[in-house]
Amino acid sequence: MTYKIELDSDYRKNLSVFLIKDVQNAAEIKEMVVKGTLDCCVIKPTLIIHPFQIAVAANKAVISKMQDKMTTKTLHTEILYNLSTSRNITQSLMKFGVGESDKNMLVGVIEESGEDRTDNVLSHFKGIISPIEELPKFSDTALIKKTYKIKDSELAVSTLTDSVVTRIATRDFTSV
Amino acid sequence: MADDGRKCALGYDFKLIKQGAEAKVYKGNYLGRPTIVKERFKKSYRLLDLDNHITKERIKSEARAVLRCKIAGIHTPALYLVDFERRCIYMEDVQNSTTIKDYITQISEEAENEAGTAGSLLMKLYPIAQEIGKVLGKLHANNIIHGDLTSSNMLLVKDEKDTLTIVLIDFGLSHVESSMEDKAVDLYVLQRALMSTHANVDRLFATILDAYMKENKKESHEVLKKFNEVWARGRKRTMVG
Repeated sequence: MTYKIELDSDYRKNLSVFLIKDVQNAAEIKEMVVKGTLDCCVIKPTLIIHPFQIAVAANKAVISKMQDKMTTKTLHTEILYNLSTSRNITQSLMKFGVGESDKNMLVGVIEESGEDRTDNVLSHFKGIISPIEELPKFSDTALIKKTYKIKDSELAVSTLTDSVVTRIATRDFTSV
Repeated sequence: MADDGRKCALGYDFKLIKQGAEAKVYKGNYLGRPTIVKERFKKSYRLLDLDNHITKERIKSEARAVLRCKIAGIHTPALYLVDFERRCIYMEDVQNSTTIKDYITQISEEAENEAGTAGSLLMKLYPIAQEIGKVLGKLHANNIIHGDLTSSNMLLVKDEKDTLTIVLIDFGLSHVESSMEDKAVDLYVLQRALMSTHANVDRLFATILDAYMKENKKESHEVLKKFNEVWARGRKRTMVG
């Protein structure tokens, strides 16, 4: 139903990912996230093939933060930046973050182990929380392949998820 | 097992499985997936800054080669994290795999027990040798030089339908180069490695080379020519250095 995993064991943080449909207050959510009053990362589901993709980006963001090496200002923008192949921060946030008219969104919450604030975060969304298993209905495979520049010849030897996470892991020193 | 509970450099989740001259390899679970971690440890005899610099560049080139292979249509482990501070690459632990080295050893032992001839052993290994040749042909056609081709750096995965897949690993010495010389040396290193680890199947390489030529057709003539040159003189181009 939900996706929850432990990130790098050095930092004792967990990531939960939720799929929310028919969100009525995208503009409000966006404003709260930008202001920092809502502590979560909101992502366009069209560009996500599997929650593991967010896990790899979020894990990298947490490690960068702990090593004081973040490219962007907050952990949540860092996740969006990591997801993108671009070095342009604004473009990355626009591309992977939700827009004011978006209805469907993925919400990533990073918590200290033992902490539980997901209910509080989710209570701000006026929408339907759906099983994460429904994500494939929202992923746009063609757009993901185009965004990460993945050709069919590569998909003969790798899953799309593996190809995407390999690019996220190497994004800082490869030009795809 | 008592050893499992002992904390290694990467924490309780990881167990040291291999130590080489350049790196330590750990096995464990990361982000919910079976994971291999390759740590290029500090070399105390090197100046610290230089060591950091060299390590960072090597980690980068290794990770780049893995991605480059994927793009070229060659099976490689997926990468989960590249951490320069920890000097580590976190990658997919390929499931249901054995190294080609272990597989050949196992098949050889079986053949011995069955009192089969060397010919039947080669027959058994033929499809794998062909697949290896094909993968290496593709590798070189894309100008990727592996740098350390051995039967330990190739994994064999057999799925339910008995389809053979060769996964290339350990790109620690790899680089991108279009020269025939480097490709020939790459093949020469493999031949030598096979000869020293699998003395009973010395004709295996011929099959690999055959399939390689078919896959890397454009360059086959030149690579073969260079290969014969290298073979006559050894890996190093000159006697100096």
